Parts: sequence; structure tokens; C-alpha cells
Amino acid sequence: MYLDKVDEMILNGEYGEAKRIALRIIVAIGEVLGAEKLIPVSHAHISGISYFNIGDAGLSFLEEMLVKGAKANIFTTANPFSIVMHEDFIKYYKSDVVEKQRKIIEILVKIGIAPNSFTCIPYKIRKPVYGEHVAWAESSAVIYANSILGIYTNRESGISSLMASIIGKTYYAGMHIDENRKPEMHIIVKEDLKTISFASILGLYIGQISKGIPFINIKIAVEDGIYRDLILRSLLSSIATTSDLPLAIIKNVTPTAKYKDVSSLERIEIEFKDVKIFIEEKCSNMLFLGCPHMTLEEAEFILNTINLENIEKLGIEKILIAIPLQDNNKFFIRKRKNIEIQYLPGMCPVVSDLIKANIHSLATVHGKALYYIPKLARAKSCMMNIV
Amino acid sequence: MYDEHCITIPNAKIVGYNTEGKALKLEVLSFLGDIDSKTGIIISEDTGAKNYYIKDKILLVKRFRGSTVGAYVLYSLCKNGLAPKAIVTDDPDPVIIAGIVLCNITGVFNVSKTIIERIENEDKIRIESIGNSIKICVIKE
Repeated sequence: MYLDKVDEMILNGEYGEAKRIALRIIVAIGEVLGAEKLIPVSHAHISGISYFNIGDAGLSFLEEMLVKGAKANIFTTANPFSIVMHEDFIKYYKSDVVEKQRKIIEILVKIGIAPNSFTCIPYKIRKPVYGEHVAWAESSAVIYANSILGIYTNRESGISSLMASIIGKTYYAGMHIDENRKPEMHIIVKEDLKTISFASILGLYIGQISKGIPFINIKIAVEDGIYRDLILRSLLSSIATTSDLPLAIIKNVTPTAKYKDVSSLERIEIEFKDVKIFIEEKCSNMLFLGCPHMTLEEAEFILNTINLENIEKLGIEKILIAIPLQDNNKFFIRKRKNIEIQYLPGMCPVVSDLIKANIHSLATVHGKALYYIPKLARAKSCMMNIV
Repeated sequence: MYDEHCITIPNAKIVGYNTEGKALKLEVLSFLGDIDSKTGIIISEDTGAKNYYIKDKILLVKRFRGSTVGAYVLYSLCKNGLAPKAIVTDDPDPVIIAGIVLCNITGVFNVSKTIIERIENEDKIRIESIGNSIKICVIKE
């Protein structure tokens, strides 16, 4: 791999231990993946922030990196943390768990992660410029970046994105190369996309059947820009849940879709009956929204769109909404009709031990939450077809 | 009597150095959950190597499962002096590569499951990097 003089000096330890480790990791990954060079990146986004996710091993690694002089060299954001930091939930957790979660956040801020950034929608913190190269972890943000924003990122891990932040570069391979961003199959969806819940179940299904980057021919029959974006976010994050796809090309949506030739690709037609197997019945009196996160404005829109009287009749008593940390100081309405609204700024219930907080089940409209709540948060999940 | 059988794998990639040690084959592995991080003993049945120690072994892993956290756990195993000497596998998983670099051990990638099949547990093996290829030798003494 080609390395410039400064890179060589970094690898010799002349810029400190943290940079040496960071560059060694990026170079090793690049060499194994066949990269010829490194490229500068303008924004890193780090995953693996919840203590429940990374545990003591992750915490001590971050501590060591800080001691070794780790410092973000480019604009860096981070994923949400667990709900143990929430004033209403803190009482359910052991003090050492809360302390360790606090410590992880503290270390990341000391390293230079934007203090108000804790969210899985980093593109709402800083809007990237079309064509930019970034190093993002968090599968839902990666697929949104490549498919909607027209920027370039591989599906990084928590470690590789942190290392890219420290050196401001990544390996030139995979999704950074236009040649690798071609569709490999043609999916035609016979049903119009009108709701977040349908987008979710469709996305989970597409992720499951995809054998390569899909070109998706689908009509999104929604006018409102906010709603349309939330639908796309749920579609894509669900695809990235049941697959490791970093990109899905959507007709009339992905900036480069019109230049893609799909005539020779394998065609798969999807009808509603193929995907409805994912819909289950209501399993909880709590509804979870914001996977990926919603901004306050988006949450407000959804609360005005959902028929609250109807969901109250269905037995929903509380709505949890995960939002970016930077929206924390805005005014919150805590009650709508008879339903309590609880915002989770900078947090994610999916990466939290929910049983400890007495939450045994969550209803949702998001495919990623549906899939991961039982696996990571140990609670039951179900899909509600309400928005 | 000294005998060795070698195979040269043209597309394999190495991270780290030439090394040798005893082989331990695993059907599947996640560093989070399949290994007791305090002892380095494999605890999951479906790895096919339950109750084996990973310390100083050359792990031949057919498939990795799990997420980013695996690299952190591998790193803490290394800090506790329980590191394997090398990890040999097929798919180049960036998370495992990061763990290998942090541990300062050897990783070999793009080694097919068929090649791994041909090596037995406890076989002494040597890994050598030769130009753009990797040579893996089984040594019988």
C-alpha cells in the first residue's frame, strides 16, 4: 500500500502511540482488503457506545487509547448510549453500570467526539456534502449515507471508525470506489410504499433475500418530505439489519440511480403477501419510535400523523421516542391525549438491558428495533402497523 | 523422523509475522461469548473445541460470528497473557483484523475451509509469508 512520508513517521511512532496504533489498524485492514492507498475522510462516526454493548473490555480499551493520547483529528460523532443515563430509568440500574456508561461518554468527549452528537443519525448533526468520503460505523447511517446522501463510506466497526477519526484517513477500498457501487440484482416491489411499518417489514425481507447490492424499483406514494425521509430511513435501516449491505440503489431516490444499467440483472418481484409474515400482533402497552433516531421536528410530525385515539384503544399507554442529544434542551410535551410521551435524548433502548428497567416488551414501527430488541435488550418486540 | 507437508495459498493475506504453534480448529467463533475471557478456555459446544485452551495456539476458524465487541475481548485476552499465537480464517473481517493488530499477533485471511479441514487439532504448523503468497506447513516430528 502506498503511504506518504507522514504516514511512515506515524507508523514509526513519531506522532505518538495512539496515532501509531490507529494507522496500523487502518493499514492492516486496507492491506488485507487489497487497498492501494489511504484517502482523507472528513467525518467519522463511532458505534459501540453503550456499556451493555462493549462491556468492561471496551471501556478499558477506550481508557487506554485516551491515556495513549487519542484525539479526534476530524469532525467525529458517536452513536447513542444506553438508557441508564435517563433520569427516569437510572434508579433501575446498579450504580457501577451507570458509572461505567458515564465514563465511556466522558472518555469519548475527551477524545474529541462532538459532545452533543450522540445519535445514530449523524447526517442531522452535520449535513455532508455530496461526494464526500467519510468513515462511519452504525449500519443504518452507512446505508443512508451511500444510498440517499450520495457520500462514500464503508460499513466500519466501532474500532475502525475511531481509528479513522484519530488519523483522519481510511483505506481506499470497498464502497469508496465507484466501480464497487454497481447494482447486482433488480428488485421490483409491486406495492406502493406509504407507511414506516411497511417500509420496515419490506426492508427486513429485502435484506434477507439480497445476494448483492440491490436496485430497488418502488414507488413512494407520500408527498410530505419529512414522512418520506422517515420511510426511507426505516426501509434502509431494515435492509442493513438482515444483511451486511452498505448500499441499496433506489429508483428516483439514489442520486446516481438513473445512470445504473439493470437490464442484465437477475429480477425479483416482491408482492405484499411475500413480506406480511413479519407483522405480529400488539405485544406491549409501550410504543417505541426513533430507530434510527428522529429529530424533535420529525417526532412532532409523527405524533400528529398517528391516530392517537386509535392506538390508545389498542392499549398503548406510553410512547418512547429516541432523539439526538442535541435536541435535549427543546421544550417537550409530556402528554398527548392520555398517552405519556417520554423522550430519550442521546439514548437507545435497543442497546440497553430493558428487563432491568421493568420493560418486558416494546411495540414499534421500525424493522431494526423489531429485530434487535429481543437479541440485545432481552425484551419481546412486535410491529404495529399504525404509521 | 522429521516430515513436513506444505501448501502455498496465492491469495491469502497476512497481518503480523511468520509464526509456528499447535493448531486448534473451530467451526465457528465469537470472542464474545464463546471463550471465558478470564481463563482463555472455549466454553461453547458448537465451536467444536469446547474445553480447549486458546493460549499460544494457532486458531483455524472456519467462520466468525458476532460484532465489534469481539475485538475488545480479544484485546483483553491478550492483555491477560491468554492470546493465541495466530488466527487463520477465510473471510477478511475488519473487526478481527483490528483485534489482531491490537494484540500484536498474526492473522492469515482468505484460507479456505477446505484447507482448514486438512489440518488436525494439535498438529504443529508453521506460517510463512512468501512474496504475495502464504505458505502453511504441517510439521510431523
